Amino acid sequence: MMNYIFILTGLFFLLILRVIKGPSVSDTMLAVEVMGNLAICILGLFALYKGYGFLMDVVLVIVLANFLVVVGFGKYLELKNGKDQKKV
Amino acid sequence: MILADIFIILGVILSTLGCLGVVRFFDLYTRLHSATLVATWGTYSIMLGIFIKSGLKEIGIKALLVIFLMLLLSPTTSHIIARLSHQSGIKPQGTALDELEEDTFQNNKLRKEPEIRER
Repeated sequence: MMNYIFILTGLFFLLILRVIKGPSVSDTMLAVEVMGNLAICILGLFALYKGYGFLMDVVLVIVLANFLVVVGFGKYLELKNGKDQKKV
Repeated sequence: MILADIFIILGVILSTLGCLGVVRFFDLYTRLHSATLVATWGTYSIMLGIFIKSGLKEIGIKALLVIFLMLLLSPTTSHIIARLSHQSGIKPQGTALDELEEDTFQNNKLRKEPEIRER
């Protein structure tokens, strides 16, 4: 039963390759978002197998924080694009 | 429950495939297509398995709440990343037709022409 958690944790470390290597900022943020989704899966399975109910609260907070991270990144890219268009 | 184990195994396999796609694909947009596989099949399927296995208790109800929030928020994040990175100049590789590029180019052309005539 714990093998699924080990597999998902291995994927978590595999995604660090894309975070380091990604050519643009969008690739890095994409990999970070996928890492957040994997963290949701890992914590949910851990809460199921060990019976810890409070870990699902952590999962809910991670879902909302993962959304806010991407919205902040979008705000950054939008400001950057607006400045470039004004210069041209 | 066999059904819950089937859902959890399916979620683990498909999120493995999605993460391999995120690491191995060649382009931002194909990587995005593979990342939404993790968001949809991985998270929904594992949370559905948790709900079936745990029943209507604390863990199961919060798993349903996670499914509802992910249904709202995960398409929004992939849309933000795709549209804004296309706007910031990252081109898709190997495509014959890019309609969003043509639309934004025509809009910029229409917006810039009246300014020149006023001057």
